[in-house]
This record gives sequence, structure tokens and C-alpha cells, in this order.
Amino acid sequence: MSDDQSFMNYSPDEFESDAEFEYEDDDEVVEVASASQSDDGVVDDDYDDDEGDGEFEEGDYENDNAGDASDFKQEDTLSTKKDLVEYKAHSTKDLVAKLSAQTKNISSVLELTDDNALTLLQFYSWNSERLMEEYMDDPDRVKTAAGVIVDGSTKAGSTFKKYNKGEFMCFICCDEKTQTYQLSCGDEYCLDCYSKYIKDKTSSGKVIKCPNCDVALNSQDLDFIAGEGESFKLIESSIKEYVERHRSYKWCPSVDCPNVVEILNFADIPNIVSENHVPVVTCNHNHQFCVSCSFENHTPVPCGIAKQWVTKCKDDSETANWIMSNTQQCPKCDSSIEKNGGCNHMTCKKCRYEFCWICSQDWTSHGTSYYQCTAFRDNPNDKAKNKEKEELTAKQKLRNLTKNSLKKYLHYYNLYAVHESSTKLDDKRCKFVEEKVRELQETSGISWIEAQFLVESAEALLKARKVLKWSYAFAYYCDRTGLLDIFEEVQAKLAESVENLSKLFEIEDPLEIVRNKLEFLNKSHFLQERQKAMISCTLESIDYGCLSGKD
Amino acid sequence: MSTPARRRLMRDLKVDPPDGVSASPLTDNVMIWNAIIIGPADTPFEDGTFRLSINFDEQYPNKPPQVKFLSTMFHPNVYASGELCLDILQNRWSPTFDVASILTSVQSLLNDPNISSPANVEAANLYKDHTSQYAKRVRETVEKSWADDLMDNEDDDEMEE
Repeated sequence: MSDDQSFMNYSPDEFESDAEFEYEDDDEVVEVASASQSDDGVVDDDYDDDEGDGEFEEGDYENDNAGDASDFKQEDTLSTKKDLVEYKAHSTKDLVAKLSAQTKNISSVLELTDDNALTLLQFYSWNSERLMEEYMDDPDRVKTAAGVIVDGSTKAGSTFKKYNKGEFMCFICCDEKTQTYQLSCGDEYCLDCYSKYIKDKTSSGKVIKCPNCDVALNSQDLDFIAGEGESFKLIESSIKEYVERHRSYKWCPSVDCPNVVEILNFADIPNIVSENHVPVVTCNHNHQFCVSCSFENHTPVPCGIAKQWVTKCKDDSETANWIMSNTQQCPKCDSSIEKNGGCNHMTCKKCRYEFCWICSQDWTSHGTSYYQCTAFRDNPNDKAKNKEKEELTAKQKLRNLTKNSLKKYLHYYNLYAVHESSTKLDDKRCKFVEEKVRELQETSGISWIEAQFLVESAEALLKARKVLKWSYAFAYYCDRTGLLDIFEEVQAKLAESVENLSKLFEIEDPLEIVRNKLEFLNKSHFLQERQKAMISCTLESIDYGCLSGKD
Repeated sequence: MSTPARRRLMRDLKVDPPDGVSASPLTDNVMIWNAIIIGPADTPFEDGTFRLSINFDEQYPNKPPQVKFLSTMFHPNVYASGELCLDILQNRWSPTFDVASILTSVQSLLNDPNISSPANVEAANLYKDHTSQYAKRVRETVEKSWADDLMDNEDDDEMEE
């Protein structure tokens, strides 16, 4: 948001048209808005009105891609209302407009100037009801407390003054200054001191008062003293206060994302969570997050389990990382071994197996000639031996996996972590692809619509990978039953199609990408199907009581 | 060297202190002040001579100084370390406050503690429920402040001899 935007320039009308535009921009919304029939196009504050335009519903399976999701949406609308989060996505700009509308409302009801109404609202932390009530009781007391001048406007009272050197001594810095500012209270300070004072306080979101008395500085005062945009900064910090005061508003938890989501059926959230659905919303920057956890979309894992997993990872990830980077497993018994010095001739303390730290081979094969393993030798006999050994250790690993809980955790954590880092790489790749799309449009004259397949595929990939990632966390908390085998099969298939699509994105040549359009579409469609299967399989597993929740 | 902070402190020095408080900078460092607050009349603190130190930095007067009691205090808003919890020394600081206004605020805090956020829980509880006990504990600190004074004076006397 640029600084030059004045708060008061936002009329409520603009806000509506603005919002409407943004919603239309988003195909997901249009789809649902038409389903829930928009009648008036008014964005209203009435939370109970669930037919309003721009308000959209989304189920736990957040599948909102392209047309293939339409049958899915029907499922959503069929399910009981309590499963759905109803929300509006707001940008900071929307909220500024909202606050501006609220200010205008107050100023007309209480017959005040906009500036004074703004000061009063900031003083009352945007609680209109309390402000109105107390104002009706005793307007003068309210005004005095907030620092609004009772008679006449504050604007007339503020003056910028110029002096010759030696005529004015600033009370704060004790220096002779030539430029000063004086509020209607008569207190006068030099511009430098005033500016420092204001900049110190704009992040508070509260009314800024004269350093010496209770008179409030209005937005003209702020902009004049500290420079254009300072009053807007105060409004922005006011928004923080507003969002924090209203529990139905949530900041998007993504890094540096300035968007807010307003949950319309806030009271239903606990029910949604208790039924193992994830209340997922999408902010204006297309970030998905769970409003219950204020965490990324963790579908299909229920909130409680997701929380448990995240805390566990926080507690244990250091240990896990350390074990992974500093130890090796004994090739025979799989105990973790840390090498804290000495030569590479290792003897496992547990099973007394002697092996080489570098190649993990039996030490006897080294004989007296040390470290032959560092040299590359392509011996077919050795290879066969290795394979045998690998198979053996794999079996042992599998056996130990069920026995050893740390192993189990490390196993799933590893998979989870791998997909987490892959998600980041994919994300980078997708940004790169977006660049490619632009390139394509310029060079080959392909229309925007035609190039959309890339963006859609990228989105599908990111979403599916997230589901896959969380499914590993889910698997960790599951009991090993027959159903888990099915679960793992579905999981493996999802993983396979994720990697398949991810691989397609490695194509560099734009023309080659276009040639593979069908491939992209097929793969991403297939991926979405498998993602759906994964989610329903998870929900089924929960229904059958697979989820033990035990560490 | 003249900085805004030092200029302000020199001005603060010229302002006549209000009744019952006095303050002056160290002879070799204008950024550290020693102050004395006399306990207000008709309160348990009456006639106590409580010593404080005030540490300024170059941010003054845009940022508040650090104020600390050197005398032993028994007060709901004073920590065992002598540091005190006072709104105008934290979030309600204004650059127009000076040494005199700080000391006046601290003085009025003595008999008008803020019980909702106590720094000394025992003192807060006694103040609320056992006023006479509270007064007794405060009187002990008042007497101690006199004894400290006396010792200081004796030190001075010895120095003179």
C-alpha cells in the first residue's frame, strides 16, 4: 500500500466495487458465488446473512482447481453447513476502506468531522458500540478523554510557525529552532522534536496526543509534522489493533502477507475441528491456511494431530537432525553410531561388528590395506555382494522400524522434511514457470488463457505435495493395521504422481513446454484425483479408528 | 560537548525542585543524578529520606531515564533491586517530562501505589488487607533511611578530621 493514499479518500462505495472486482478476479469465488446465487452484490456486515456476494464457502477438501472440482463442490454444498468455514478474504486496503466506512458512519451519527470521529474510534479501539453509548451519555467527557477539542475544530487551532534565530527555544531539545508547530492547546515545540515524538508512536495504533497535554493530533497534524503518509501509517497500525480485537479476523500466517480473513461462522469452528475437518481458508494472495491453528493447510491431518506433530518436530527436529548428520547406522544391527575421533575401523559396541566408516563394508575385506574403499573399483562380484547386503539391511530396517519408536519417527520425519523442502523448491520452480508464461505470451503469441495450464498445474502440484507431506505425519500417528497398508499404497501412488508432475516442470524450453501441454494437463488432473483419494482414504482411516494419536 | 540530552539536563538543573525533593548531577558526570525524596506528610512514609539514582542516556528526553531507589523500600511498586514500576517511566513517557516531574511522580506514587501490577507482592497484600502491618513495615524503612543518612554524615565528619 503506498503512502500517498489518504485514508479518507476511501468511500464505502469504492470499497464495494473494489471488493467485487477482486472476487471476480478469482475464478474459485465466481464459481461458488454463482452457486450460492449473488442477489445484491452488497458486501455487508451482516454475519448471519449467508447469501451475500463475495462470501464463499469451502469445505475441508480445499480442492478449488479448475472445472474438474465442480462435482466435488456439489459434495461440499450437500454436506451439513457445520462442516464449512464461511469467510471473506480482505486485503489491508479493504480493511482501511472498512475502517473508513466505520469512521464515516460514526461522524454522521455523532455529527463530528471525519478527523474527530477517527480519533474517537482509535481511542475506543474501534469499538463503535461502546463509543456511541458513552458519547450519548456525555459527549464532552468522551471528547476530552480522547483529546478532541470540544468547541471548534482542531484544524483551526494548529499552526506552523517560523522564527528568526534566537527567538524560540524548544522546551524538549533546549535548542534555538526556527520552525515550530503549535496545537490548539498552545503547546509549541520545534518540528524536529515533534517529528521524533510522532514517529516513535505511529506503530502503536493509538491516538497520538500533545506531549504535554491530552489534545490529540489529527491526521493533518501528523502529515504536516512527520511527512506525508504518517497518518496512514497510524491507520495501518490501527488495523493491527482492529484485527487483534476481533477474534473472527485472522491474519494470514504466511511470511510478510498483509492479508486478513474474516470468518463469518466463527462459532462453528470448534465443531468443524472436532469432526476432524480442517477449516481451511485462502487469503487474497492465494495462501491457504487453517484458521484454527493459524498454520499452513494441513489437510488431511486433523488439527489436533497436526499440532501434536508440529510440536514434536519442534522438540525433536534438532535431535533428528543431529542424528542424521552426525551418525551412521551399524550395517548389521542398525544402532546409531557417532564417530568421535580415531580411525575409520569401527567396531559396533552392540553387536561387535567390525566395519569401515567410509564404505560401510565389512572390515575383513579391507585386510591390511587401509582405505581401498576410497578408490573407485568396479568389481561385479562386490556389486552383487553389496546388493545382497542392502537387501538384508533393508529387511532389518523394516523390522526395526516397528520396534523402535525413534526410528519410526525419524522415518516419517525424514519423508515429511524431504517434502517440505521439495515444496519450497517447487514453489521456486513455479515462480520461474510464471516467468516462463510471461515469456511465452510475448514470444510465441500464445494467449493468457492458453498459458494458464502451467499456473494451474503448478498450483495442483504444490497442493498435492502438501497433502502428501502431511499424510506422512498422519501415518506416524496411525496403528499398523491392514488399513494402513492400503493407506500406504494410496500414499505411494500419490507420491509417484507428484514426482511425475514435478519432473515435467524441469523442462526449460518454452516451446517444449507448450508441446507438452496435454501431458501437463493429464498429469495434474491425475494428481488431483489421487489427492482426492488420499484425503478420503485418510478420513476413512480416522472413521475406522486407525488414528491412535500415540507417539 | 553539548548534546540535546546534556543541554536539557543543564536546564533541568536550573529549574527549582518542588517541595520535598532534591536532585543534582554527579560532579564529574551530568548524565547521572542523585536524588532524595522526603516521604510526604500524613503518610507512613512521612519524613523518610529516600535516595534514588537517575541514569540518563543520550536519547533523553525522547526516551525516559532509568530511575532506581538506593534506599531500602517497602512499596507495592518497587522491586527488591530498587527499580520501580511507573507508567510515565515506560509507555507513558513524554519528552516534556523533566527531573522535577519524574521525582514528583515518584513521590506521589509512594502514598498512591498501583495495586493491580505489583512489583512487591507482599507489600501489595499488606497494603490491601493489613494496613497497620503495612505501615509498620514502611516505618522500618523510614528509620533505616535516617540511619543511612547518619552514617553518611559520620563518614563526612571523619573525612573532615
